[in-house]
Amino acid sequence: MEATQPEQQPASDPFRAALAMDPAGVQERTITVVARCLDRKLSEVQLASTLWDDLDAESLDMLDIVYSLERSFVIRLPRLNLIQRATDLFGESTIVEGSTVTAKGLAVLKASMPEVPESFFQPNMKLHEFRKAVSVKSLVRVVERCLGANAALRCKVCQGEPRQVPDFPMEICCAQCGATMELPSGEDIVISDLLRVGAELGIPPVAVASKAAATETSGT
Amino acid sequence: MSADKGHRRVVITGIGAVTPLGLDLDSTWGNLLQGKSGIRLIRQYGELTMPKHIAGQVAMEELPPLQSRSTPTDGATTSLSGLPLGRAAILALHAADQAWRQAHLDELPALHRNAGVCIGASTFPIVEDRLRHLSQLLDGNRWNPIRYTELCRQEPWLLNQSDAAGIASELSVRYGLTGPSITAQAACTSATQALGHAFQSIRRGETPLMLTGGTDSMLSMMCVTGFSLLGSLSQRWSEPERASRPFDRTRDGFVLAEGSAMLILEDLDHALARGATIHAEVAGYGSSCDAYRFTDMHPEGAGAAMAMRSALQDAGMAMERVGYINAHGTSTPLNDSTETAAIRRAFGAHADKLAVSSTKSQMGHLLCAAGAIELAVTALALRHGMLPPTLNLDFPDPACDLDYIPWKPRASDTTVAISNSFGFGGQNGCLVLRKWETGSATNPVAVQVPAMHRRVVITGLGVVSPLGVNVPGHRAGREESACTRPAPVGIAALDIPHACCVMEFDVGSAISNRMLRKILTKAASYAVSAAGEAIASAALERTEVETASLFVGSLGLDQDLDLFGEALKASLDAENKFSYERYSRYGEGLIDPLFLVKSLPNAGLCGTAIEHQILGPNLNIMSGPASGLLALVSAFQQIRDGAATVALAGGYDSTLQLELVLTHLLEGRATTGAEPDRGYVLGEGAAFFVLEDRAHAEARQATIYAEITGVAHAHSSPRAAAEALYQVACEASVGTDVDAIFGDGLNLSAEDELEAQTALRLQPKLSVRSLTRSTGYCGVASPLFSMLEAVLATKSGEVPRPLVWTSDHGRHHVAVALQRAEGEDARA
Ligand SMILES: [Zn+2]
Repeated sequence: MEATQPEQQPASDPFRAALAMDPAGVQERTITVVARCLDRKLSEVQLASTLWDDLDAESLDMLDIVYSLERSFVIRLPRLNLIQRATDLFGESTIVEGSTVTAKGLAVLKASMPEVPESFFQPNMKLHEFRKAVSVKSLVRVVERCLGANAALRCKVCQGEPRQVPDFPMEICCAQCGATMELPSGEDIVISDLLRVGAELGIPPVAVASKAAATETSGT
Repeated sequence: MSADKGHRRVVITGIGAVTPLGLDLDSTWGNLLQGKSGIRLIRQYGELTMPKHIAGQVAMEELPPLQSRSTPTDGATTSLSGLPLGRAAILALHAADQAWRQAHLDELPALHRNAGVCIGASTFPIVEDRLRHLSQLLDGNRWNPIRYTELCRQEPWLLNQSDAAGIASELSVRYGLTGPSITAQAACTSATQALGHAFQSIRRGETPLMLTGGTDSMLSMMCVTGFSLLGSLSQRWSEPERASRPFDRTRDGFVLAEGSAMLILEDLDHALARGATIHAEVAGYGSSCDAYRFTDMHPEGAGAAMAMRSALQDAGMAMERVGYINAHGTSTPLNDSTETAAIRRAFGAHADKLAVSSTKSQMGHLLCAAGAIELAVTALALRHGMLPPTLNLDFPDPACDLDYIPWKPRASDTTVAISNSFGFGGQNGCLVLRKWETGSATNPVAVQVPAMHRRVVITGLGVVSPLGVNVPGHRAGREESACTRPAPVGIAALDIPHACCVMEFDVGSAISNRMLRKILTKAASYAVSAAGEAIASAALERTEVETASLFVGSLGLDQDLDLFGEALKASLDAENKFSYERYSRYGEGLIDPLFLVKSLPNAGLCGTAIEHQILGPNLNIMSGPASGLLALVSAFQQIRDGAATVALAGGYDSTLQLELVLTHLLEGRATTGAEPDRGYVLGEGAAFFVLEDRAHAEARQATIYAEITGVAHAHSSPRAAAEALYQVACEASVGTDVDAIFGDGLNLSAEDELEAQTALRLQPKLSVRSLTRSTGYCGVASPLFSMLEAVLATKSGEVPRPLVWTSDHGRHHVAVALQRAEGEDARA
């Protein structure tokens, strides 16, 4: 069972400790988590390493990595893949045609994954090819995005900052008045980022589909 | 066991079903043809209901009361032990009663040894039942063993709800069947494996009739959580009837379902002689292992295609005759495209001429019962000339380009159909059905009649035991007992001072596959390691290993309750009560997403297949402590009948999990500090054997450890245990003298007396030996340690003709007779 324990937390409030980390610290810890989940030496895991090809990860590893990162940084990461989410928001035919990604779909993915080298994105890419782009750097980007959302969180009652509820690993409350607060959901973050990218590219969202609406209710 | 080697034909003469679409077969079939969906929001657990989860549920409250069959179950929904039955067991009994009545089997004289049971079933602790007591049971993040023992002492039914192996026993006793009673566990392929095994045992003349099928109800909170964390489930919970969309481009996961289907398979001559109604003929069965990854199918569907091809070959049938495939079709993105690729791979150009549908689009995924209901539906499709549709197929997926019978059923005069099942872990199964028509009985069957019985020898040994982590270590350790080792703290707290733990097992050097090291439990790792030693000691060629058959007896429950401790603690509200709202908000995310994969009961088999690249036919048996010896019996039968040349057979167990410790403790079987001289010390381990066609072994000049000369398996109620054990001992030894018996030796008066008296009745002055005082009681592994002991004693010439037997709690009785291989005297 040792393998699934969260990383050693340096402070008594891991939530605040994670917020206080500098980018180098976030990178280092992400690499440590990935290395442990994939049973590799730290030196084998680079920021540019892609998970599927360079590090030979399987789908079960990805679940393990996401879970371990959530526990380690006290964040909620998105679960659904980006393409699925984009088709929900912008409509099936806007993003994919058969098993191929459309030009608009490619533009959305490119803008949503700024850490991926430009040369990766080619016209008429197949859906299943995109996971090859996911690197340790991609994980770091998403972790930092979630940490940013955590940092921006304020108490609805008194505008106080959040802290972890002692002994409850994924629970936070207001450091001032103690009111219950919620960790921002990774799904919500992805949705709002995709909507922003869509607006920049001039791709309108389809009428809020039942699925997206349902996601919003579950996220609250 | 019949000596008749002729090829028997197998037909379906009774079907019962309890499904999300109906409480019997007719209503299920009617609703299938009307394109109805059985998927709804989960309501089974009342206020615990996950508002965001959907499933195919059975309207249990509308089921008629079970009728008494004048057996210990006497009409009520209580088990042989008098405790209430779990949901899956109740479903199974209803489906079985329907099948039994439809086949008019009560009009026959009692079947006894002429019939057996073989079903697929799952096991999983139902944490819900413990939630009321949660605040007392948890100490921080850990389960408090003392208070948990107290609770289970007061409410012993808590421990039998997840006893899947017990369901087959209930069925055997309910219908008075004393032939083999087997529970197959291969995740979603379980029922297909059970049906395939039942089919084979009738075909080879072992028994004329089998009650077979599957049952499952994995809709409890932890089950839903487990599949949900793996990302396997459809998220379309706002539109339940549209969620299961096999082969549709927008499919996003499967929908859980519960239910049971039971079938009566019967020897054709037996069925004709009694004028039975025949639904369809079971013509062939194929199984294979992907040996690829735990939850990802082989990308080109190689293993799935191999299962289909070998099933058709087994049926002696040209692939062009197949007109319909009832697909596994789970509605996960990966399965449906891979299955399509596999069908293309297996059928080539003919793939475009056959029809395929997935009835999971209407019922959801019945998991361990899926293969049974799907075979039943396929039989009805042939009989009525009407193929059921695939619902929700709106958007074509370029990766799924076959004819899937969208939305509406289709009339068809097809006469041959197959039913596919593929499971987590990579076990694949396929059954071939032929339409039953006038004249079918006299149709020639193009199957090669098995040649003479082959002789079967043991050519490889492997073990991980409390005495040592390989055969030399185990042998060297035999002089000392592991029974004085201190128990881990949690067990010692229960006044169980000793435990036979495996020592110095290094998973890093024993297992090379990284994913296996990560997800296998200790016990499953022992299996992979012992299997590896057996293969190495047999010095087989790479290709012989690849095509070998694999039979494994696995432990029933491999689950550490502490895995959920942190999540459950986070789910307690201000009043220290379990709050579902808190669980879904804070608890669920604290659970290891791989826990379900880690606790798969077929993890030992699949891990062994992946690590050692074994792709051949396979069967995982989960029938309690006798399972390992039962696996060996199955392997023997396959080789004897010429269906395999080389097989790897064995089993593994750990009785050191809290739930299992409690079972042994509360049954008064485990040695305690208060009664240090009574009962057994709990232990763990694994043992495997390479079985081989003797001619093949001799041709490659393999070391032959012993020859297996006879096997027997019977099931009885505990009251009839003495007679049953005597019977299997006689059958296995076939009237020849036995030099020693290697038995259980549990150090319990009734059990020891049973063994001693049976030995005496068999032959005067026959001693019963046992290793239990050295290894402790290691569940499934213990009878295999007896086997290993007997094989070594045979090889050395000390005991030329040993008999190995086990009799677990007086339900399963298994015996295996060995003899020294001829020519060994000269070599020794
Ligand atoms: Zn506040």
